[in-house]
Amino acid sequence: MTRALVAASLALVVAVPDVARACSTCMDPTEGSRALLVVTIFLSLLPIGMLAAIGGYVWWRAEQMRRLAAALPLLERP
Amino acid sequence: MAAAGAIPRPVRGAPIIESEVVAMVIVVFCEVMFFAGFLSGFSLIGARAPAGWWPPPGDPALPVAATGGASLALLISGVAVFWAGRRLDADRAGALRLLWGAVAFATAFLAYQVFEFVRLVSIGFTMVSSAHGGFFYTIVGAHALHAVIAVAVLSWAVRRLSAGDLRPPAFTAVRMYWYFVVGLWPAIYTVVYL
Amino acid sequence: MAQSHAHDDHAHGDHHEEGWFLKYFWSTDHKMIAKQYLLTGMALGVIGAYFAYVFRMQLAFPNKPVPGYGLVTGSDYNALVTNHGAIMIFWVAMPVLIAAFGNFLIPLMVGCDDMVFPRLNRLSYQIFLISAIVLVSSFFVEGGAFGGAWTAYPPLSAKAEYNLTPLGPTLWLAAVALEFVAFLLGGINFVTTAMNSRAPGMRALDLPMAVWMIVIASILFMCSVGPLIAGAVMLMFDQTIGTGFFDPDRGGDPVLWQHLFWFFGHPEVYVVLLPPLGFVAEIITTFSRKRLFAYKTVLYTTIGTGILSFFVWAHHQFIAGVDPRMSNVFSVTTVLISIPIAELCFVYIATLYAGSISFRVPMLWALAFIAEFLVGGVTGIFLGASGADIYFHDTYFVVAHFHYTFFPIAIIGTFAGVTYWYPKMFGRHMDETLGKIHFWVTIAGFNGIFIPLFILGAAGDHRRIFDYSNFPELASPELQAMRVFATVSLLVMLAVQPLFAWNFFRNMWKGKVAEANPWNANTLEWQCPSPPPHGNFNPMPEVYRGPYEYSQPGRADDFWPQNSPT
Repeated sequence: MTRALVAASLALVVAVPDVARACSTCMDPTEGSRALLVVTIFLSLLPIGMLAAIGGYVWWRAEQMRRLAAALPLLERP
Repeated sequence: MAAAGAIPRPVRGAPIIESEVVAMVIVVFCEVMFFAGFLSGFSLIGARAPAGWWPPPGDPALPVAATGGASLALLISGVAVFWAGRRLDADRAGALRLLWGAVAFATAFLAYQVFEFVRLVSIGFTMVSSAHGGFFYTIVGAHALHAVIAVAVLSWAVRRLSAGDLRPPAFTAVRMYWYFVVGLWPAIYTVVYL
Repeated sequence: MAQSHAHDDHAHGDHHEEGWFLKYFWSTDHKMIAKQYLLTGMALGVIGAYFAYVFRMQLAFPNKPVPGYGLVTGSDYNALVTNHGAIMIFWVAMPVLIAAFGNFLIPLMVGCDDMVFPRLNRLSYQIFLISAIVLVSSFFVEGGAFGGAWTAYPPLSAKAEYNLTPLGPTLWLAAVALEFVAFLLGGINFVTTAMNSRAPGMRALDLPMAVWMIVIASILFMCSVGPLIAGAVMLMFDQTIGTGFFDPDRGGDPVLWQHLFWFFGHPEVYVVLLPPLGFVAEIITTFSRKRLFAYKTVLYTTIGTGILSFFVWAHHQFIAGVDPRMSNVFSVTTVLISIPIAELCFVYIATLYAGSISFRVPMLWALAFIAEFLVGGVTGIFLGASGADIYFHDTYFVVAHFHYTFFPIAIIGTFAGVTYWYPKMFGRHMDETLGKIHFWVTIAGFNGIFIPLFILGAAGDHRRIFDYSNFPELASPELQAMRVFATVSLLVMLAVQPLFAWNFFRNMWKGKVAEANPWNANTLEWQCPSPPPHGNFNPMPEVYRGPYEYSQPGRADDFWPQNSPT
């Protein structure tokens, strides 16, 4: 019975999010918060994406150089 | 760990990326984040403004077509630097001419921007007239400042290059900065002008 | 030898025997620049501690003249709190932990003669010094120093008619911006040197943890600082020429600053946290004579922390009007980030397990770091939950929480690093007994300050009030007694700091002479003379193994230097 009640209220919250988000400190218009979400995602992923690209390139170069060195052992300095 | 005894003496490999290039990658990285901050702020404030209030009704329309034409000059200079980098070993004199051409095109772009700023200010669109004006002059002006630095650095590099006094990684670093200044502009143009 | 090429290019023979000025103020030697950063950072730390003393006295004994300062007015109080925070983070934690130790340790630990770009390094310190001077000068201009909290939220920070300090905020912002430029230049050197100047045979996974941590911290700083500099430019235009970026009247948005600031501000916590975590890794392996438990785990965990740290910043803005659905997301990421940090603590405890631990002074500081930082981390979970944060926001609970993170970082981490590497820096030993007295009183004093503040915060004590006698509910004798207790603890803690200064400066000349490797450690910096001469190594080292090969079976010594061929 209690479980059903909890499930029902959860379903209600999911169905009527505007009621669920009634809070005294929240005043953001929905359109603005969508833009904020987009900007947030952009700004957070941008450095990580760039880092991943640079890191991937460094790793690829390192692998390439390692293969090259393995292929030409005689040219390596003593 | 390797067993003690007959361990071969280790050798230092060549650097994966030359130091000058690493330094420039870091600089460009920070600059990209710097402009990302500006552009995010600009689009955020634009999206949050009430309908019909962005750009503010009093502000003049930005010269989209004329600036688009000037952008072409900047893009051409980027292509010229790219081409010069490809041809430097095969045809040094030609590459140097291309680089001076790139400097000329970028200078033309900058001259257009000065003209555009003067005209916009003269019709009353200034940094303090609205947040829109503030963003416009700050973002476009910051890019122009970077373009001025890029022109100065490229001119310096070309002079050193013709004297045969520039390490290849340093030249790579200069070109990376140039690509950054050129490649950033379409993003700014799209967000700010369109 | 890429690094010596670059060296030739960038330091066209600055290295003659120089006069006093050239040696101490115009040096491109990484060790000298490190000492410059260390001493400047410590000097500013004294200023920051003095500010804390003045405003704590005002809180405990309101409206009585503070000895050594005088009567504290409301605007004085604001300026002192603001600059205490700014100085301790930007002018103490960053220059000492990243710049001083980064400069000193990276070339020595990777086994090269200097940074890749030595003149860039010198420029970095000079810009930093200018920024410090600009900051201090803001106390002597018309209207006084900036008092809008170290987060500088507009509109308070943007308009002189609100903050009543026409010049202070602009100077403050200029100082912060200059300081960031200085650290970007330094960071370029750290990353490049660790990448390209490693000794022959040193693979990336042979780097000591301290180097990795400083490099990762520099990269985090570079990722996050750009938007803040953009925001600082906008704020400065708002202050000086009257643009409307953060002015809702003219289409701006004050919350935009908060986003730009905290996008930097939260990764900044990890920027200053990682270097001391690296020091702790060095210290606990040395003094427990054990390998670092799970080197690769530590490394990947640190990288994971760095990535996650970009997704938590809005937890500073739960009550700034952000969408509660977004708050939920940030609550989850905030609680998530405690996992890698807890993992690091467990790894360090696992390293200690069954080691032969010797409680030398650096080891005490390192252990205290783990213990105190855990308290900071655990209380952070309350604040990371957006529901609890609505209550706790802007109370002393927050103050106590971030001091339990920043004090271990900036103060305990600094003391750990200084006491551990002092023999290498100055070629002499510090006094152990004085060091232990200083350690125990400092730690007791620190906990005495901030435990009452947790209780005060839970009681609803708001943090931005300079005189509680105007607020009857908060001025009750019980709460006031806790404020007095905290202030007395601060006085006790400050009273032993001269002991450290004495120990530090006197033993530069009078201390017991240190041998090259006094702690029997493995990493390369201990394999050159103490203090290292110009050029550091002769001959240059070659590396055969990782940095934490302690107590290997079958060896006579319980340590195995990285550069020893057998």
